[in-house]
Amino acid sequence: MSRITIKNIGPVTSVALELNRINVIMGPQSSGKSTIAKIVSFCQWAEKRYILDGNKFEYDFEEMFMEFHRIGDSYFSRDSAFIYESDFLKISQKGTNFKLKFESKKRNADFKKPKNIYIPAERNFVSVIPNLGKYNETNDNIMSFLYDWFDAKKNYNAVNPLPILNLGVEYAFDKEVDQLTLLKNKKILQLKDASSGLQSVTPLLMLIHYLTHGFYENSKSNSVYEREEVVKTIIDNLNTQIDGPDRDALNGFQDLNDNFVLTKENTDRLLKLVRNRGRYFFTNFIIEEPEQNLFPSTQRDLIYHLFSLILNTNRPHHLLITTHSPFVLYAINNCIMGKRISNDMPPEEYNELRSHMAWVDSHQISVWQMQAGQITSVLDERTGTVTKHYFNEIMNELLEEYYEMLNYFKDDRSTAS
Amino acid sequence: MIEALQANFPEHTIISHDERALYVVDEKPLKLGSGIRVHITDPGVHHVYLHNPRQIPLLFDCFPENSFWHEDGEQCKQCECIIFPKSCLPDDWVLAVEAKYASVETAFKKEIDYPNIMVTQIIDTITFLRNKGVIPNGKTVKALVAFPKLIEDFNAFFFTNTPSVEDILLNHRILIRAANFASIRNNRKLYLGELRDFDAM
Repeated sequence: MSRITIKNIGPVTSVALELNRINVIMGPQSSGKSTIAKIVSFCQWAEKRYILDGNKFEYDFEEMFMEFHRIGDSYFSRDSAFIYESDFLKISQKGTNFKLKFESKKRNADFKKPKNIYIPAERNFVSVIPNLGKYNETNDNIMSFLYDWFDAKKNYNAVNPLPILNLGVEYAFDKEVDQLTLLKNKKILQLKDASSGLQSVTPLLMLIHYLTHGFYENSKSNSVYEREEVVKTIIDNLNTQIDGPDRDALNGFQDLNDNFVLTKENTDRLLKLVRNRGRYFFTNFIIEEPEQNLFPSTQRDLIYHLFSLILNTNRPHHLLITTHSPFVLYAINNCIMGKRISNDMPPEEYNELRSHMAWVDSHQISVWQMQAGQITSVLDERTGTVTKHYFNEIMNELLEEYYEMLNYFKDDRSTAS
Repeated sequence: MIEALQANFPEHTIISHDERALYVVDEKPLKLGSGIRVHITDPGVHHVYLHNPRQIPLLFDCFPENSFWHEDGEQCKQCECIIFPKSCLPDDWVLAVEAKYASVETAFKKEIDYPNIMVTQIIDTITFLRNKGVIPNGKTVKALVAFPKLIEDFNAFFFTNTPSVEDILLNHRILIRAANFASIRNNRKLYLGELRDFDAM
């Protein structure tokens, strides 16, 4: 379990939270949801890099965090700070000095390499702009998402299409074109000509599907670059992985001689290192506003689908979503309540429920609400679900205004005649 | 349950129905009569609808006015009626109904606060019946709070103020939903605010 503490960065004044398997942050625009998501995303990436690169981090924070996530200098002040703490290390930053401090916590041979993906709110641009392959001028989360999108879509074709929820639509990458087939009449249209909802949900669904299944099923491990990096890291770290008198013998392979003996313990440790870094083990998903451009019932189906893909696998995928949709929240509530009552409800009844493949143990999910730069958990300990939240307050305000006006409402139909 | 009701409230008239469609009407606000009446055909006036496609035999205790009094002489708030399967088995559902014939202009007016009034009527009735031994203490009772004159959907946002549905369930063992209808699957299963058809048993 990782923990993040953020103080005075952008709209966030003070936030401390422990990351769970599934994390939901709700809040209005500019409340700081995305700031938290971006810092978490950066830290997960920085942790991976630090460990895989042999306990060093040779990247520029401004480039890899601020430019990558389009965070301006104005987000930081003298009082700014964040601390990310995982089982393996602690990463911290303070003030406007954009230097990161790394502190190792335990041997990192156990570190299992994750695939990190940040799915930005702007994701539907991959659906609408043609010839995106030519754009490579920036290094930001949108371009990163674009590369993942290109990588993923090659796996979906006419023979192996991607069903888009239960919308009666399938995606296929055919002849370099993103195609959607409307199943009811077999009509084909290009993704760039589809509705904004399909343009938003198709890339999202594809990346989730690919990075929970195809990515691992195809035994896809590292890119050429990453393979080279792993080999380099293992060689570089051979010394540090082996303690005691063997260390000197290992200083440079040319010095190895017949006297050098790898103990079983050290061999096992090295093998574990190779295993844990040679391939990906799970995906850390961070998704901004999954509800974007979607009709409420599609938002619900998306959440059920997302949870079922992430939970119903033997890989410990993690998810963080930001949202300002009450429909997303109510769908999540169904997933939590379903698990809670699963032993009491007969299977023939719960099999009829749309949510039943997406049920999640309340201990595996955290739901927070952002308000005035601070964060509070909104899960009710009694039920494990979200029972009180500000969507209700907002709905009340809306209704109050409506009913206030209804006091003056006259039925024109009766006076007209 | 039927014996306990009759023993405690001999003045109540408990009626039986097993029709596919049952319409509960409070005739007093409609100036059609003096109390709650159950129709077996569409009465043409606003009603609470019970969908009973399997024709489960049911019992209705439509409470006369001023039915319940505490021992200290104080009147207890009450809802319109309770309904339960004739089988009277321990796992059978029990449904309490409270209806307000309010117009759209007044139904959710803050100063009238119908939602809280109706919830209190339901809670007080069920608590009273539990104290009298009519409803077992541990049993969760289902309840409809209805606005028969409102044709638009209103249930999703009824409980946006406290107490929440969860508060009521946890504190009073009453599963409450704001809706004008319910569907009966069998003597153990009732769906509040849903219209469902079921295969023959």
